Amino acid sequence: METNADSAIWLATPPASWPTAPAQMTVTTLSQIESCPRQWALSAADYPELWNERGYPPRFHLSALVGTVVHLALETITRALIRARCPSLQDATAIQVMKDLGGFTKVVNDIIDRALADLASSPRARRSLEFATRSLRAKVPELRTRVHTMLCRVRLPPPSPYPAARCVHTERRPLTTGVFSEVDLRAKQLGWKGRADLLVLSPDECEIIDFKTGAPDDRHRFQIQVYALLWSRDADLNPDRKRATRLVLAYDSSDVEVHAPNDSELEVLETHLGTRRDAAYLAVSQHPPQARPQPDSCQYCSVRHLCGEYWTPETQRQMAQDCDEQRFVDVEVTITGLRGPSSWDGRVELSRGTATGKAAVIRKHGNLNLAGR
Amino acid sequence: MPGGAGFAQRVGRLGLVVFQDALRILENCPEKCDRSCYRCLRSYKNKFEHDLLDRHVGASLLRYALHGTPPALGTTRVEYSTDLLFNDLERQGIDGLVLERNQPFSIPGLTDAIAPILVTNGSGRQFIVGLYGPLTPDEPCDEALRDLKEFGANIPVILEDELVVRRNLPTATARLLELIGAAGKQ
Repeated sequence: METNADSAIWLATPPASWPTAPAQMTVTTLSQIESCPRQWALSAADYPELWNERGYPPRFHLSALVGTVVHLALETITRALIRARCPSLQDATAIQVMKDLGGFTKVVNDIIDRALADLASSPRARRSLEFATRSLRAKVPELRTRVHTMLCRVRLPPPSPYPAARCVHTERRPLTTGVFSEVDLRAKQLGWKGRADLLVLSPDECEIIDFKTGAPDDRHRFQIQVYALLWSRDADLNPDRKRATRLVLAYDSSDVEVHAPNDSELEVLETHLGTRRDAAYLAVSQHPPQARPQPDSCQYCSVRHLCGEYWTPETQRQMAQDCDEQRFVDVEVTITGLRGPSSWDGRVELSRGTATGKAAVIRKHGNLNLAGR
Repeated sequence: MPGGAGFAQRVGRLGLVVFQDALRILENCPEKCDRSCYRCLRSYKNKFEHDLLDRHVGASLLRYALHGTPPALGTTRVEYSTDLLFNDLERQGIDGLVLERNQPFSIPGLTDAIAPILVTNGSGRQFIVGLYGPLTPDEPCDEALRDLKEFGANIPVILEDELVVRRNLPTATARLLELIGAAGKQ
């Protein structure tokens, strides 16, 4: 049954108020703000007329959801292995942990259930739920293989003579030797935070592992080096300011080792992050924040329908010149009259794909209710 | 012909006998052909579909529909297809990649089994490669791999679609090389 939110999602209404800058910066937020402050603000603002969650409701994006499922499955399994104090993946304990979890396929299916439930709460994605369910279920074998392959590369350190705390980290207290998953790293003075997928601490080593489901990217290297800095500056978890000695990006088919910064490199990185954080805060303190339309970011932007800067002839001209995507284009149309029970006549106002003023016919797909729009 | 020739309606009235006859034809090709031939499924009229016809896959689907028999491929066919994949992987001549066929392995907590293809890559990481039937994705043809696929935390089990191996071997090989971290090393 259609709700008010399902109907309201078709109105491109900017937020009533612009969001304030996040209390602590993360690599993802910084990247979004630097790419386009307006995009970040439109995505992060509250839309109480649409739903009760934070930000603009997400749409269904298969590859993003696939990445999330792989990531959460790895998180679930590594947490269980750590909880069971599994000494290594070769050990029979690891088999027992997997049996207790019901096997890789069950873990993946359970996480897909959760992901689909989250999707169902978004008025923007609800219509795609059936397609999302079919697409994700069809990918279970592939997802199981990816999770299995990535997990097998995780190195749990051999049992140590030192007391080992193999636990899921929840409290903010000093971490000693052990394996910790999903560690929230916070450098309060720096105003930055991040979450490391896996932290392996031994008396002489500190290894940070981050699971990555996409293609290798220089931004991943930057992100894990930021984690190294946050670990060294996290006064709660690491009061002795020990340095990370090994940084690993675990991709689908291989691990990539990233240079672990030394003390002087950490200081340089700290200054660099402070400068970029200040610039980002300044950018989102303007209301509305500046829009930076670029074909690379606009074509994947999920809030571009709300962005006034995107719907200008200059931006559309730039998109027409530089945008790779030619099969689908955005179009602004004024409806001029009803043509049939599920179609309307219209006039093109703006589009990179067709001339302004051209006549258009808009056809309704499925049970979409456009009454009164 | 407006409204069709009425074949679909007649099939509905004939009931199970049509499916039983179809299964008989699929299972008993006089030529004992590999996939399809002019003695069982092929005719001039379906010449554009010849490449898509596989009597064994069709028979396993019908056996499941009529008798509830889980879809399965014959051992000989699975062995033949596994050989195809193994030989194609070997043919790539990738330095440091060790391939072993029908290798016994044992993992604490699980029953001992035979790896259809055991791959060791240049970094010393091992993978077990097997096949699944096209109607049962991710269900290994080899029963012994089932537990390992779900519970074996230290050695990944990679399963390929038997039909893809037979019909599009380069795709199957490329996907495998990607997963074992050997893509682009040919």
